[in-house]
This record gives sequence, C-alpha cells and structure tokens, in this order.
Amino acid sequence: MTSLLRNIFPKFTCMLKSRTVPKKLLPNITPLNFFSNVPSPTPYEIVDQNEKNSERELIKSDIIRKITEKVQNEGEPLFAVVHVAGKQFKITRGDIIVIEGYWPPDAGDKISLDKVMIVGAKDFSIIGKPLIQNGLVRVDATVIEKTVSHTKTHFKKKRRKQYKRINFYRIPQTKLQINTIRFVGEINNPPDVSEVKTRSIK
Amino acid sequence: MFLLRNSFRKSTKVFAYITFSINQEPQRQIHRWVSPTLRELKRRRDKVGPEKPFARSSFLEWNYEAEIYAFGKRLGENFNKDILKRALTHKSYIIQKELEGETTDLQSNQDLIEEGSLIISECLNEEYGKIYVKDIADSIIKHLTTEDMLSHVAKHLGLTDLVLTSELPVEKSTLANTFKAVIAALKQSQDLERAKKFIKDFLIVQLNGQTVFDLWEPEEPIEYLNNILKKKGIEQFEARLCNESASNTILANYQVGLYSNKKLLGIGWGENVEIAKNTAALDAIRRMYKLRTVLI
Amino acid sequence: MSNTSLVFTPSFIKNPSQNGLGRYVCQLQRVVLKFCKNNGSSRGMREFIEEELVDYARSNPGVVVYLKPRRHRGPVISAEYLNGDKQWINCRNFTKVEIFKWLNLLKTQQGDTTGLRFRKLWHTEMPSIQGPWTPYTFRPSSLNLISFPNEDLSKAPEEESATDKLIELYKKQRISES
Repeated sequence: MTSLLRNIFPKFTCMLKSRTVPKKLLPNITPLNFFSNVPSPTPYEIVDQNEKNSERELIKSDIIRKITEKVQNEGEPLFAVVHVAGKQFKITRGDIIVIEGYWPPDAGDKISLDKVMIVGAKDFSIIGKPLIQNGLVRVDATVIEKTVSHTKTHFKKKRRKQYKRINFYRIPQTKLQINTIRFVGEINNPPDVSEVKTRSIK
Repeated sequence: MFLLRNSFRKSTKVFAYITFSINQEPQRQIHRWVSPTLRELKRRRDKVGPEKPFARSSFLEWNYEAEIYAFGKRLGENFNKDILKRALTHKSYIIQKELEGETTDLQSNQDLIEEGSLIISECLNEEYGKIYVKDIADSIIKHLTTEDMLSHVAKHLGLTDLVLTSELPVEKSTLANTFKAVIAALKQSQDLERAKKFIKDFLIVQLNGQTVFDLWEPEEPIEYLNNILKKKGIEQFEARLCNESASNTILANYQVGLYSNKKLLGIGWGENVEIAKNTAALDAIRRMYKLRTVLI
Repeated sequence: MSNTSLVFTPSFIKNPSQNGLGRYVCQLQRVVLKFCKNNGSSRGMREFIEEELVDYARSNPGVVVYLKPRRHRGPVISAEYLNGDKQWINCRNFTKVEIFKWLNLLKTQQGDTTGLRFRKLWHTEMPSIQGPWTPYTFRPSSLNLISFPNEDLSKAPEEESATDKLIELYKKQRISES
C-alpha cells in the first residue's frame, strides 16, 4: 500500500481522509473506483497505476493545493514525529519530552529539531521517506530541565558460585518543551540546493 | 518539652547515621534500635501536631537586598530597585510596623496594584478581544484573571518569600495583588511593551493545552447557533442523521450533520440524537467564528 | 535497610509554571552551603568556597547563595526551588569537583525529583490531533448514495461451500477409479 503510494508521489506521500458527508452535497469529488461488490475498508484514495499521467498529476496538484490552503490557517494544530537522539517522539505544541542519556544542550537552550519524519494536521498527514523535505517544517523547542533519573539497580547473581553483585546507577535526563511546530517552506517544492543554515545536535 | 527537644536532637543523629551509612563503605546491617527509635520519634511528633508556619525571611540566612537583585535577574528584567521594593510592600505590613511602634518610610503598593490590574486587562483585551467575539474573549480573560490563576503565577515567580505582609502564610489574594503590582513596577521601570511581554510570557502561557470550549460553552448551543445564523442572514439549518450504529445497545452512537442550503455547517457525534445535535451545533459555532482549536 | 528507601513514588512529568513556553527561568532560587571551618569532612566544600564559589555566583545572578559556617557538623547543600521544593544533599567528604557538579545539577533542575519515578517520558495535553476513531471514520463516501437493502451488498460471498468441495472430491474419485 505504502509502496504503491510512494510510486505515485515521488517527492512525498499524502493521504486525505474520506469525509462521511452525503456525496450530493460535496462538489467535485474524484470518483473512487475501488469497489467490487463489497466495499473495501481502505481509507485512502488509491490511484490506478494504469491511469493517464495527466490525470494523476491533476489529482496530485489538487491534494497539494488543498493542503497548502489548510497550512495557511495558523490556528490549525499540527503534530509531528521527530527523531531526537536516536528515538522518535510524536509531539505537538506545548508537549514535554524526555531525552535519556548524555545529551549536550544545557538548560535554557533553544533548539530546532530538524529531523522531522511526519507532520500532520486534522485532515492530512505528510509522511517523509524517511525525513520530510528540509526546511518545510520548523519545530522549535526549549531545554527546560537537565536532571537524573531515579536510582536504578543492576543485580547480578550466579548460582552456586558465591557470586552476587549489586550496582546502582542514574541516567541523565533532558526535558524538552516544544514551543512551535509550523510550516515555513512550500509544500512539494524543495529548493534545488539546500544550505545548512543552523547547526543542531542530532 | 525537654523530652521533645531531646528527641529532635536525637533524630538528627539517627538521620545522620542512616545517610552516612549510604555514603561511606557499605555497612553490614542497620542496628536493631533504629526502627523503634524512628517509630517513637514519629509518635511524639504526631502528638505535638504540625509545625507552625514560618516566614523564610525569619531565617538567619536571609538577605533581602540580594533576593530583590536575584528576582529581576532570574526573570531577565531590569527593575528599578525602589519601585520593585514598593511593589512588594503591602499595606498590612506597614500597619503592623506602625502598631509595633516602628517608624517606617515605606510606601504601600496600593496604587501599583490598580495600575497593574489595568495593564493586565488591557493586554488581554488586545490579545483576545480582536480575534474572538465578546462573550468568548470575556470568559478567557475571566479565567486568566482569577485569584487562583494570578496567585499560581506569582508563586512560581518566587514572590511568596519576597512579599512584605502581615499574613502568615501569605494569602492567595495578596499574592495575586503582588503579581499585579510587579507588572506595574515593570512598566514604570522600563516601558509598557516590556510589561505586556511579561504578561504574555508568564500569564498567557498558562492557557497551554486548553481549547475554547474548556473555558466557554453556551448553555443552549442550538439556540446560540440560531441567533448567529439570524444575525448573519444565513438560512435556518436543517439537522440530518448522517450515520448511526449500534442503536438499542449501550454503545449506541449517532452522527448528526447540520446543513444550511445544502452546505455543511457542523458535524457532531453523541450517544443519542439530541447530544449529537448539540455537539454538531458547537462544531458549527466553531467553524462560524473560525475559533482556533488551541488557545495559544 | 527498610524497603521504603528503595521504592519510588510514581509520577508524571509536570511543568505547572509552563516554564520555557514563554521564556526560560532558572527554577533554583537560593542555595545554602553549610560547612564546618575545622572538620576534615568539609574540606572539599571549603576549597570550593575559596576557589569556585565567586565564579558560580557571578555566572548565576538569579540564584542567591548563602554560606552558613557551623561548628562540628557535616557539610550540606540545601537548595530551594521556585515551586517550593527543598532539596538537601549531604556532602560529607565530597571533593571540590563533586560539589561543583551537584550545584550545577541543582541549577538545571526544575524541582526536587529525589524519590520520584516518571511513569512516562512524554507529556501532552493534546493526545490526538486527528481525533479518535469512530465507526464512521474512513467509511467510503460512495456508500452515501446506496439505498438499503441493497442487492449487491447482501449477496453471499462467492466462495466454494463444503458441499461443493465434497462433490468435487467425489467426482475426482470417480474419474480416478474409472
């Protein structure tokens, strides 16, 4: 399924949820021809591979236009999946995430999370392969706390060998407050050459 | 009393005994007397009752000048020291000093409180008065200017220990007033813009994670929607059952859409048609007013 | 050792002051260094005070630092946070570097977290942007035009029944026998 969509939209993949509104009332919806006699449960528009190129392009530009319109509305809450320090987090504005292990940023630092894998709003999701285009979305965060976890125990024992060890350790933790997630670039129109403007710790 | 004092002295010893055992080389055991002693100490402490509230400023390690200096630095603001001190001095403190027979040249923060209150309402009105209709903006502003909210913010600015007042412990209303006075002090020390930035950074952020309908909800959403439609001159809406599932079970659910002139106004769900209609009306109101889903 | 010191209170991540959403404020408001002027256990603390303390205080103007010398008692760091938490660290026989590290940790913390265990390393007020699933989510909109009962949809699935399979087997057997 995903691979199919990837073939169709080479730069990015997007999905539109189908609305449960009486069809009569909606203007110009692209006909969906994926039914046999039993309706398929699939939520996504699957475009026939054999369809003409121009029609495919039309649908693609239509979807991009719809998403661009949505993006212009600033009140629209966005979510993103970001890759930070080896782990992935699903975040929205105002979230707090904890990064475990040694991580250099200090409390009070403002950083931007550049490895964005998914960004979405109520009606659409943009999914990267694996990252979405650089400079499309900006995720700002503040380091609010650097602390250590609770004391964890590491207990080792070998039976019948008079061997028993117990170690205590605490892991450094960094708390990140997500400040904003917003679109800054143009959808599906990446610059030919992108320069590294900001340095960030990956 | 002697017993009690003795017991507290002992308790520090017991505490030291335990903590030292953690930091030093591992100990084989904890002595048999530790547990019953701790239990006895706990019993005596419970018998005496809770400790009296104390002011942090009554401690030996307290330097008011240093605290005032650190307050501004911590928040990243340049306060005029005298104005800030005045903002932290309440009337009750001056009266208390006078009753004690001390002559003070302190001034109370009464005028600063009023000025600060005006700045807050002006800033909030600017922020929300334009993008929301009056009754929604009012309920948001009301939520932000309650005593609980202002005192909560004041507490997390570290004002509890700095306030000069006769109350012990410091009351919420005093804390809320101090917050207002501090904002006025900031305006007088720097400028109005800076004070507004301060309100945005500390007060408005408290709305994090709240939606409009958490703070404001019309009692009769359908009537409210009807009024809006009348005002805007839009045709009366028509409610249609779009979907239903599991009716006659406890998991019954219905989806109702409100249409006006064959255009969708709002759509909502509910466990019966009436509730679904109300939620659809709320959704329609949200779309009509273009309410943001999140407040900040 | 009693078990209570090994069990942690489960809790969730909190940020009641919404610190960092507007501007970042260092949550450590004051720190008291208590030490003895003679005893060897305060040696690291005394060295720290002589060599590093002024720099520490200068680089953190928002933290009020108090010194409290007292006779024949162990060295202690007592920290107070904006949210009202107090943290107490016994620094017996700590070196200068250890004390520096602890003070830096206190500076970057939001409150006293000793004895707390976070149940989740993620906190959100909006768990879902796209909303919960309902029986109508993702339903093909073409179903809206169909009137029920619908002949096509009520057809039995075209699968081979067990009887058909038996007849097939029987026929095969007959062929192989003949």
